[in-house]
Amino acid sequence: MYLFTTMAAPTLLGGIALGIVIGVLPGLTATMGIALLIPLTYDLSPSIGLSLLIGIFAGGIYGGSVSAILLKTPGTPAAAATIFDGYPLAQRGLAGKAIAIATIASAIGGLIGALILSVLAPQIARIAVRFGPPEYVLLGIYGLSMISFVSGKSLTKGLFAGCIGLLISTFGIDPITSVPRFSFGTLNLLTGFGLLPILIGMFAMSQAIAGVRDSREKAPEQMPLTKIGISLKEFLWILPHIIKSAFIGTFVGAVPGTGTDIAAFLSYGEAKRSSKHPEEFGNGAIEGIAAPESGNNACVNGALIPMFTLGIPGEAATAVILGGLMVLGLQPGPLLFTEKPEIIYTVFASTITSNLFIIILGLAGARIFAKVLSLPKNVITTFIFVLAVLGSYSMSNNMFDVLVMGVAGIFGYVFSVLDYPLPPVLLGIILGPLVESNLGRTLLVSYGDLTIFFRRPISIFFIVIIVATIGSSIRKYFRRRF
Amino acid sequence: MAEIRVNILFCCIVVGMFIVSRDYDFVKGTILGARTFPLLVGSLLIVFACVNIIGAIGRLKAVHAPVPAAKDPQESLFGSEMLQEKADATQCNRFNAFIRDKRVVCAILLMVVYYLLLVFLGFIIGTVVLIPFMLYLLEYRKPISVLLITVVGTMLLFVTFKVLLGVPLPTGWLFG
Repeated sequence: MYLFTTMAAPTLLGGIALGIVIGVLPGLTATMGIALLIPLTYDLSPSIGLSLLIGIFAGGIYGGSVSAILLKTPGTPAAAATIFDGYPLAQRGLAGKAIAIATIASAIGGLIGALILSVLAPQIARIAVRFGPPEYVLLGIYGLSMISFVSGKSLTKGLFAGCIGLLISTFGIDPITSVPRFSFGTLNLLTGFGLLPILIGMFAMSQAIAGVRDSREKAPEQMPLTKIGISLKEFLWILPHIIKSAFIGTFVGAVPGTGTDIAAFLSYGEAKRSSKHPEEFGNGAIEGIAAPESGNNACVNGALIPMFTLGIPGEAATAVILGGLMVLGLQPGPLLFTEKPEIIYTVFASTITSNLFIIILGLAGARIFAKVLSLPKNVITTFIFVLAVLGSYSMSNNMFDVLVMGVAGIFGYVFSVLDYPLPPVLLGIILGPLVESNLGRTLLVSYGDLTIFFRRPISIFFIVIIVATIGSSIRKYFRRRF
Repeated sequence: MAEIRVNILFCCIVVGMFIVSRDYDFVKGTILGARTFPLLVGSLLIVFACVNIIGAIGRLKAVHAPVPAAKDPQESLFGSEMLQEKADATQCNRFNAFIRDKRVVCAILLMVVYYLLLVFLGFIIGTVVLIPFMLYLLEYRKPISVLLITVVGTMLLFVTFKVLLGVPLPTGWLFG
């Protein structure tokens, strides 16, 4: 009820509209949009601010499908799989049908994901409340072990990037001895580097610099948007794929370190494998649009599960939302469920309602959002630079944060050019303090006895899944090499 | 080569952190202290950096005779126009060609200038200077449109952040 008796619902609607605009524009990602628009939440209450961020996330992931279908360019990485059948369908003069399928699939997939989130999250939180320092150490290590999944082709590049993130997190006050570390006597470094400026730099500024580099590339031909809609028969045909992809997407999102693009590709692959006419995929098969769109929007809600229950981001966008939550004064984790249940229930209501808004905005506003594609890319790139500066300044009114953002932006750009992954850096920055502080507490409590990790059932569970995760990645790595 | 340089740079940063952290003591009787975690992580980073450097050297050696990069037809077309332009070379054309080739570096330098303008002169003047120069760099050169975008864009940002949201904007030392 809180959602509909306060400004949360209109804010959610506004967030979805903003998110769709951001998602439609190639070169802008949902992650960047969230990072740039977090300053809009400063004056809002936590519930309303969170509704805005969730709206931008959900809208951004859906919005990428519009440019994927009309322009053969995914607005966000999550829409990459939608191109395979979305653009060919548009080329056959059925762009409107493709948009309608993407919208309906996104909404239903997102709704199923939201319902799973609402049911599972409280149960996980009940277990997580019993975590002690040893469990938090292993949870952090498990999160860091996901670096192996987000490293792309090179495991050592990912681990190198992860170590950089961990080192960045060591600046500031040591959590055990309270000694200022690497502050060089300056007040700015006494509290360490702000998470938000680094996020904005790595995900927004670096993209803007890449936009400058690619500013002379010719834009692909845009398909015209025809009548938007599908028949009941077509809807019933794609419904089983939508439901299956929703479950795939939600559970992919719940695994820390994965992302909406992985969920989309897995859903597409499964839809093709189980289809009676797999040869039609790649030529405008409607299941080929419905499956990835359902998977990627369900993944949005799946990714919120580890973020809210364990304080570990499910993927890059949730890492940015986690930073936004800290700015709003909220600490994600199981205690949020007991200390601020109204926030949790607003999140559940927002995630469920956002899908209804996606259907309304997506179907009614598709022509308007398609027009966004004709905005000059160089004007958008210019304003991303300005918004990145404003966003990083506004957190603490400190120009030092702008400097950090700029350096992070250059660093993020260089890394992307050299094909080094950025998500591991983020994982390192976020999980470093969790691992270090709890490791210190664990060793103090156990007088340096490491067998404490093997005397607690939840710790043993984490050790097993960490070993399984690392073992699986090492096996895949060597299988690729030899 | 760039990859090797980046890895070496971070190794140097880590060595610097090791040197700085010499003064951080351990908690008596334990290995815990302010430098435990940086030492551990820094050591791992150096190991991974070495592996990356070896891999990069291996890839460099594996490349045989350098193959001339296939020219993008547009660039070639533009190149041939450039040859003609060179014949009547003007300062403006040479400048435009320079910033086109080095546009990433120019964008970064422009952002440095923007940062300094924000520090000394504040948000409005800084942004009004940045937008037209950035649009020029990105080859958006319609004077009336640039003027409109600069004025309307700056006003919109000012009203949205400062007036509607109450988010403070840089005021600059001169006006602070």
